[in-house]
Amino acid sequence: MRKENQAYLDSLEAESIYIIRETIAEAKNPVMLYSLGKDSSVLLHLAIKAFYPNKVPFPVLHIDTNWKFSEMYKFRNFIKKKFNLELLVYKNIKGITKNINPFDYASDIYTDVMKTQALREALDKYKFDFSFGGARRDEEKSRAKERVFSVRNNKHSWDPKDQRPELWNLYNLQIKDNQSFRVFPLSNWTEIDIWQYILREKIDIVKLYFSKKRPVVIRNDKIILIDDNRIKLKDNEKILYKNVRFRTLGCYPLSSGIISNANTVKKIINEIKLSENSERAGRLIDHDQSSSMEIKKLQGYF
Amino acid sequence: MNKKINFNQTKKDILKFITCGSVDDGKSTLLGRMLYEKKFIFLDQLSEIKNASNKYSSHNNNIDYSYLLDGLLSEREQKITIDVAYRYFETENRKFILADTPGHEQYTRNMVTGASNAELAIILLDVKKGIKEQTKRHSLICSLLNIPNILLAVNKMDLIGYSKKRYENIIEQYKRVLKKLDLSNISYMPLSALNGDNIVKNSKKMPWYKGPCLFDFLEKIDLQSQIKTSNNFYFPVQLVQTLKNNKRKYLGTVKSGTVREGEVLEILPSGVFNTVKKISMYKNNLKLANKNMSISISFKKETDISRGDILTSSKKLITVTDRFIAKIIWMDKVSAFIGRIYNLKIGHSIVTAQIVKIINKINTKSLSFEKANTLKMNDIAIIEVTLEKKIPLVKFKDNKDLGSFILIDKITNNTLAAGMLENIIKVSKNVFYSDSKITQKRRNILNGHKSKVIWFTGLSGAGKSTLAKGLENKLYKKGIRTYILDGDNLRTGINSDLGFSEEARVENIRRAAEISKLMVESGIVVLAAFISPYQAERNLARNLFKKGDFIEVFVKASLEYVEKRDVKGLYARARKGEIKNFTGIDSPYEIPSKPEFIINTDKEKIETSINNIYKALIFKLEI
Repeated sequence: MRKENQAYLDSLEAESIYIIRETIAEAKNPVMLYSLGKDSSVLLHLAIKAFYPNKVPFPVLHIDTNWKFSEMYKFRNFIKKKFNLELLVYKNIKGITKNINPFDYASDIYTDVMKTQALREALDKYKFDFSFGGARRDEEKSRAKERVFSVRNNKHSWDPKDQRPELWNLYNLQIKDNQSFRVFPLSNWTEIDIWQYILREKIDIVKLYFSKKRPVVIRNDKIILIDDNRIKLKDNEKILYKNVRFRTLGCYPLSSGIISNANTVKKIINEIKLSENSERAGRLIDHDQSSSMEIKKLQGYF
Repeated sequence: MNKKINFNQTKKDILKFITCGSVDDGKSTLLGRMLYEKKFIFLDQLSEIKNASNKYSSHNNNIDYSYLLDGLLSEREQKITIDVAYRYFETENRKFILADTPGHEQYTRNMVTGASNAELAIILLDVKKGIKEQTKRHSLICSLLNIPNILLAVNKMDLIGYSKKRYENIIEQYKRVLKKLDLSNISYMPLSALNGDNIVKNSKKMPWYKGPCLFDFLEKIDLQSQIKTSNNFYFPVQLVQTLKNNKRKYLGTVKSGTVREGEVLEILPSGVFNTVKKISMYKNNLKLANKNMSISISFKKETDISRGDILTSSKKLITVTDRFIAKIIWMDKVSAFIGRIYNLKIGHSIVTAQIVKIINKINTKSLSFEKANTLKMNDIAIIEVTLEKKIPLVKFKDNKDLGSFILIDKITNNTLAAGMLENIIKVSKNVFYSDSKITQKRRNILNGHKSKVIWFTGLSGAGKSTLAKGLENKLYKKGIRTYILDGDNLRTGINSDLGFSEEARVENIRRAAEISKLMVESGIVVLAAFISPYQAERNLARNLFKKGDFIEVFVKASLEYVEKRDVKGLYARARKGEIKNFTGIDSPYEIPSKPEFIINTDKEKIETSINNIYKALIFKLEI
């Protein structure tokens, strides 16, 4: 299995490295958006490869909602040390002061304040012209429409009806003063490609991707991890201990786990191959309104 | 630590393909249907498109497969495809990257975006509607982009009772279109996307069709044997990296051939030779690197190499020059003009470029050539381009990566055109930047037209300003920069100190002429509308300009005619003595002796006059 896919992974890797290097050749102030998920981990690995033996020539930015899984914070410190990264952490202080949280607020409001607005504020603060993101086209229907180099206006908004043509691999990276770029080097990768690459390259990922007996609660048919005591159990809810893992990671109350025994990358690959649902099925924020990802992107989400 | 990475060691390959063709021929439905029947759709995605089908469609409970690809809100509302959707699936033998492209002419640039990286194009057509202009346009684009495999999918066979005769008739018609194009490896297939005929299995309704169904075709089409391999090593330098020890490494992707450690390469455009010291990829040093690998190269000697330079093993197909002929697809709302200057990105170089000639435009209806002075959005043409400096160039047919370019607007930074290098001209013309002064001529080149003054003279009320305004509108639509100078804007401002005595009238014209001169030098076509009654002042004005830059238009109308019309009531007041020194009444008008044009506004319609001047003038403004 491994050998069979080697060639395809090599060409995906070469394409992504090409995109990352092209960005650095023309960017004045680039940054990598780093969510701590598996795609971010692959993206960081590719950036390290692209510039080895030099250090990655840009900072990584983590938009911290204060509601990430505790395992993710541990992982963030581990990676920062391991690769000697220039790590920027940005939080929407206004949102935190107002206690905008995923339990008391609708998921679209919470995401807008703590993720979209925070990201926009951070980009304005540091005036980044190119931001790398780990998004893939196979993730979601509006992402499937996006260019590798996605032009955003002064409000960081995407205009899906007037995208810049993108021909061959000749990227036009010239922009006007108030515009910026979101760059997606993993555009052509699929979920399986990501896992096979993690397997081949032995890339570190957050432990939550692997199955383990964890305390959970079932809420609206979704499996929610008891990550800390901020979750308030309702009367009819009780804590269960189940073998669960996460196919995708976001804020803990908004990412639902799946029942699984896959505790190695190989087992995860086999599990995904048999899966009848897409990876984002466990993302509650994708389903809070119809075409919600497109609407979030119009507002500046990455 | 040496590790050999070989790209061709495995069986499983990847097919990048597009679907294209006219609107409503069923592109998105076809692919959606195929993915659905092959179970490439996740359950949560399926329930999402079921909901969307109920929301946007009048047919209840039918799945609209197009929603799988038309993911944008406005696409679903309007039931059209606006931009390319990418979709990924894989079988035992192959990985697929599908780009579903829009059929509307206005979204041609998005179709080109999808098509530029495709190895196969499925051109769909509706058997009932036959070959439409978009079918031809997309076939032409596939041919320009050199897509190596074409499948003409004749859709909606159910609507004609699966008639073999009608199908063969369409194929015959398409073969006639093909004669005008440069396409190879063409296959044909009858199908019905709506009913699923010949999509994932051969349809029983068309036993006369002996070829594979769509899915088998995609799985089995042979890609490897078609790839024309050139052994020449081409490596455009993407990035220059300086290491801690101050040594340099050159990063980039191999675009053709192979390179070995110790090999001697030529660096272009400088023509300097150097020996490869090390080829590396991350922590591995490689003895050999193949096509498409992203690597870094270091040399034995320190040489001056910049981003955009090309490292090569053979100069056979490369020419270092600043002129070439190319086919382009124009993609912006702003038209292309001869003489205008753009940024051109080719490989990793960005250089200033000028369109010096539009050789031919291709008519997408007849697929024949025609003359053109400008190019509008979606126009396809053959042009000649000059660059500000000499760079290494390769023909598109010899290498897709090195022979393709884009034009970028210097002000908006929009991508204006996709270009394919057709022919390289070795002799340099050197029209660029011969000196450092910015002259009228260079401004004219930037604007794409010459600048002149059109001087309208004639009695008050003869129609000078009306002519000037009408002409300006026509010139503006052509993309020509203009400005009108007349009594209205000069007398109220800069000439507000002047009255109507003979002396003041002379000074009025002198200032108007001098201002016109400055504006013409700045590159603007000035439309000056002044009575300017005296021959001497008109001569003075003419002498300020280079020969040919002053065009005098005598707007001829009899005093009787203008006095009868008397639009502003000025003649009546002059007759009563309320206005002194009024031309034609108590001040003379000297008839021009040799004007370039005479317009008889009292004898012809104003639109006719405007058209006549426009026709005579427009070619004088060409560079």
